[in-house]
Amino acid sequence: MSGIDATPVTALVDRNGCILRADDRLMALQIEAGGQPNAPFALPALAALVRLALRLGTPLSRPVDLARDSADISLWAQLRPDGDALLISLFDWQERRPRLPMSRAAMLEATAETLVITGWDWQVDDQMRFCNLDLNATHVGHAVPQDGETFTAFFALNDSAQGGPRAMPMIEALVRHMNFEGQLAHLRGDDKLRYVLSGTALFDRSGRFSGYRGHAEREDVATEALTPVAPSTAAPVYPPITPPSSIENSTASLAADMSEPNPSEFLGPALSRRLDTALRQPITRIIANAGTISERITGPLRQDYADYAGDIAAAGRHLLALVDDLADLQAVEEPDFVPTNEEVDLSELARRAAGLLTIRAEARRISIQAPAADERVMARADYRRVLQILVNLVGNAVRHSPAESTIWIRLDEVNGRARVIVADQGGGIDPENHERIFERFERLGNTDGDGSGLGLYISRRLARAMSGEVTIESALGRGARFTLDLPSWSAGQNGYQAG
Amino acid sequence: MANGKETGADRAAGTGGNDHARLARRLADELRHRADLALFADPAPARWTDAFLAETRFHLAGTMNAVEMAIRLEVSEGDIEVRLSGLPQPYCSPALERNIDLLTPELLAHYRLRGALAMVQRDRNEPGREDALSSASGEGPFAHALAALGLAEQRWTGPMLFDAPLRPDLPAEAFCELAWTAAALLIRGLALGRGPHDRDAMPVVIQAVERIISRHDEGSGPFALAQRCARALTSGERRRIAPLALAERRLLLFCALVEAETALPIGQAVDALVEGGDTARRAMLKLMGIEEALAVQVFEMLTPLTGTLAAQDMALMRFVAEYRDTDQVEAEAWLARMLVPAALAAKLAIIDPTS
Repeated sequence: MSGIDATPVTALVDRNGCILRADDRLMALQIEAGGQPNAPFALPALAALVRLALRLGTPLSRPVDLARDSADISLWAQLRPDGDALLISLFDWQERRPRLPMSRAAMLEATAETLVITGWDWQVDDQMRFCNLDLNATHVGHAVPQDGETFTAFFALNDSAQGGPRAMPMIEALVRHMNFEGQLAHLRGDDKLRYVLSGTALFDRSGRFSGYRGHAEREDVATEALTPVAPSTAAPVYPPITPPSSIENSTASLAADMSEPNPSEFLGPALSRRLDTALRQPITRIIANAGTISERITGPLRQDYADYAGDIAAAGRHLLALVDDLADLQAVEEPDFVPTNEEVDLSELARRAAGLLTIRAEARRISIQAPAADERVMARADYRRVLQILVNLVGNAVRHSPAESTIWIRLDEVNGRARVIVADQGGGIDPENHERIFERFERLGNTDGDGSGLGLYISRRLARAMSGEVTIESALGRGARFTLDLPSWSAGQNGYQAG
Repeated sequence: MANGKETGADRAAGTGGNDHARLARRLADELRHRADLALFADPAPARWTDAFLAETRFHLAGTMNAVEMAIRLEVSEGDIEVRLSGLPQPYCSPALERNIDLLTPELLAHYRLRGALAMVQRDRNEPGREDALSSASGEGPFAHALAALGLAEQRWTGPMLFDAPLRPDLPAEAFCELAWTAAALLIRGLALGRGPHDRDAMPVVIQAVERIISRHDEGSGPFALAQRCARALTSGERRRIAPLALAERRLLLFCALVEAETALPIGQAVDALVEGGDTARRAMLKLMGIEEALAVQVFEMLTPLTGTLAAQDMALMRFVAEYRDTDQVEAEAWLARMLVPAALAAKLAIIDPTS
């Protein structure tokens, strides 16, 4: 299994179709098919393409299926005349198992045979959201992730128990956009269901990271007999903890405590929802079209025009981020907004947030010092929302830090409170502006076009909804220190308290 | 069939009945192509409706104009360049209409499919219409390929200017055929004033066409882009996207999804949808799990191509009834027949014309 490889497998053939050279991967297939190293391809479909390209004298670019004993390989072939030879480039290798007739597949599903697989394939996009899934809960044996669901909402990553050289291979690989294997994980819905994950980084044709395609193999099958589990597609992957009445109180209190005018006054729910649907779609299309043009997918284009298209795509992404922020704003200001109440490891989340922003930081030679892998501070909060807050805080720190500086992320647990502190060496914030920065659309005069001025406001609202707080300590010229304060898991309370 | 009264000559050529069938099939194929050519040159309501004919002509003329323009630009030999500039522009597409025999069955068939796809597509962009496909595409490789496909399809549905060039984004085989057709017409045009074998012009035009062919990139054409869309998805995703593609009249994308799901080549899938009759359409839609209501929409969107417009109500009722009766086994059986190699299928059809 492999994704759209940034580096193609290549071969060169002469005018008679005989191989002059071929990369190892292709040569292995040639030998497997009974061919010789310097003979024409023994893979019929590829040989036919070579003959066609030589006969027509034109480049070819089309999919081709190579039949093998175990499973066919489907790939994208480009054949281009290269002097007297023909250069073959093979991209996007995909394993394709022989097609199971529908009637048979339907029968399998209908009878729910004792066919429970111990491993399954997954794919995530560059935002680590599941996509292109083709899973059946009956066969997997437990609830399956849904398209669009975040990877970390389904899997909780575990450190390597053996203390190996790479405690969190996936996180390290994600930062560097590399392949990984041996990542231990368990389902958030059932920590007895343990998996070993491996993944291949995917890149689009321009070489840009586009996600991972990977495999999840059950680790616990050796010790526990697998039995088919009735599919529960309607059930969530992990059930939310039943909210006690205090949550309702806290929400009501939160709503009552809002001294700000109700958002519906300027951004009513219906308007916000309409904005979201009305803007997201055209903006997404603008980004995709501009990206396509700037990457010259549809043909050659002058460099300055490609650059303009790149600018349009960048502006589109900024607009989309603003729409996302507005949607978040809408969500947190809904009276019935209640984050999930679960046990989260702030250390893991801090490392994850740091990992997500490492590339951006490295571009300006900024170092992010995340908590050590063996550090654990457990809090009672919503995993996804805490990650959102931390990404915002660390992202702000990266944005406002000078080149070659350091950002520290530290953890603290005291008096039933769990804290994450993000400190930077930036220009700092005047104390008289400490509260202003948490206001909506407040950017303290920044006009760099980066950010919507909603991030800190949303972060604080999210923290408060989880019985927490986001605070700042800073002075001009002395950097800034943001603290996310949340209830500690060990404090033992069952629900969020009024903020 | 064999009846015990065959002569030795019959047996030498095969069984007597099959001999007739073989001859009849070949004559029928030839006649159909001739009829297509005749109707293409002189429209009459049959397999070609006015709109379908106009669409196909637009594509043929536009791409031919583009190739002709490329040849003219590529020819740098002074005398030939001057003589080429003496020919009217565009020269090839009107000349082709006068020499319609130059259009091979394969090329005409390709343009017919292309015209059909574009014609269905042309009705897609209704103002204010929700574009569910783009919304479902996210931001990954599929979205990029879909955007590229959208741009390419927009070219197909541009204003029908018969004198303007249309990007010749054809598969390699069709492009070569088109380029050599244009070359033949230009060489003939140049030779009109200098005798039948203008040795000066021929090598120059040949070299120009060879250079153009060597630069052609079929990978940026809609067929290839649709295939790249389908490859960016897994099976489950393809089945979710397929109804959206049909609902938005993106037949090429739908056929690419069919190819990725069933291994039926995209060209055959398009051919089956446009030319294959109701049996093929029902089978393809069933294979992709298309619901009855959407299948009816597809039937209706294809009526301008299938010639069932006049008898639409009756035909629609028949289609619905038969779609309900079509089961997966039947659809799989159709697919199995389609996946037989074309050469073998042709031989089997000769041996048993009823198959």
